[in-house]
Amino acid sequence: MYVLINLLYLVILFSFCLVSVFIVYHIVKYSINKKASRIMLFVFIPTIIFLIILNISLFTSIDVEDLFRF
Amino acid sequence: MKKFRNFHFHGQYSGEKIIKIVRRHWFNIFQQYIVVIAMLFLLFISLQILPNIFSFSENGAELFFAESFFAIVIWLYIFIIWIDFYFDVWIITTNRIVNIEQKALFMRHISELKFSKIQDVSIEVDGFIPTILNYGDVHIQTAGTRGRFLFHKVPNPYRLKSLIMNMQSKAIKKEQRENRRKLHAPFTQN
Repeated sequence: MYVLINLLYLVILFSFCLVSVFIVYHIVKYSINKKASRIMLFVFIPTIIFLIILNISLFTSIDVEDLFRF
Repeated sequence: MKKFRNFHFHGQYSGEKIIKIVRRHWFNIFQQYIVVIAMLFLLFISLQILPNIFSFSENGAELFFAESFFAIVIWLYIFIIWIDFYFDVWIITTNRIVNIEQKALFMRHISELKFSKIQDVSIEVDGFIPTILNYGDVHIQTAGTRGRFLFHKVPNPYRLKSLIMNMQSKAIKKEQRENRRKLHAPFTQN
């Protein structure tokens, strides 16, 4: 069970990272105004990194074995 | 035109200047962000309600994990909506109209229309809110087989129509001048 949940979490985390990379790619590649793209990258990247790191640290602090003990 | 000096799009000709950049009306993105506002409201409400319904561990890590998970989803969703809005753009230049259509993250269409190909421009402002906020669709009928070119839910469609008509008449006059010059060129050479 523990391995399965870890695996599932990794898949979801990977998809979050993939979507983030696509967002950054679009802002960098397709923006017609470089100033606006720099501002949006400055807003997006630090926040998503903070949220993902926070999410990973909270996941590691959860006792999964205890969660499924009835 | 000074306003768009910092703007540059892929496929822009040398000497081609941007006259206007048109995006959908802000109300269109606001409608989509209502869902985000509801999700944010749910995020904060669940922080108050969930501890009363379920029993969490002492540090509440499970609750905060779920909340941060939800926050990532909301943050990504905000930017997906913004990309769909911001990159869906009509660029009016001195030569043509370029339509860059962005649909979510993986669909992107680019089409262009020369002013001389325009046959007719019509406006459609349909409904109470579009009338109050002054936004609507601008349809451009073209001479080619492509049919219609659409500016979807753009602000101030009346001003946009007059700008396009103005550019079209300038382009036609320029084309007529060039045709006349080509016709007279053999006679003037002799």
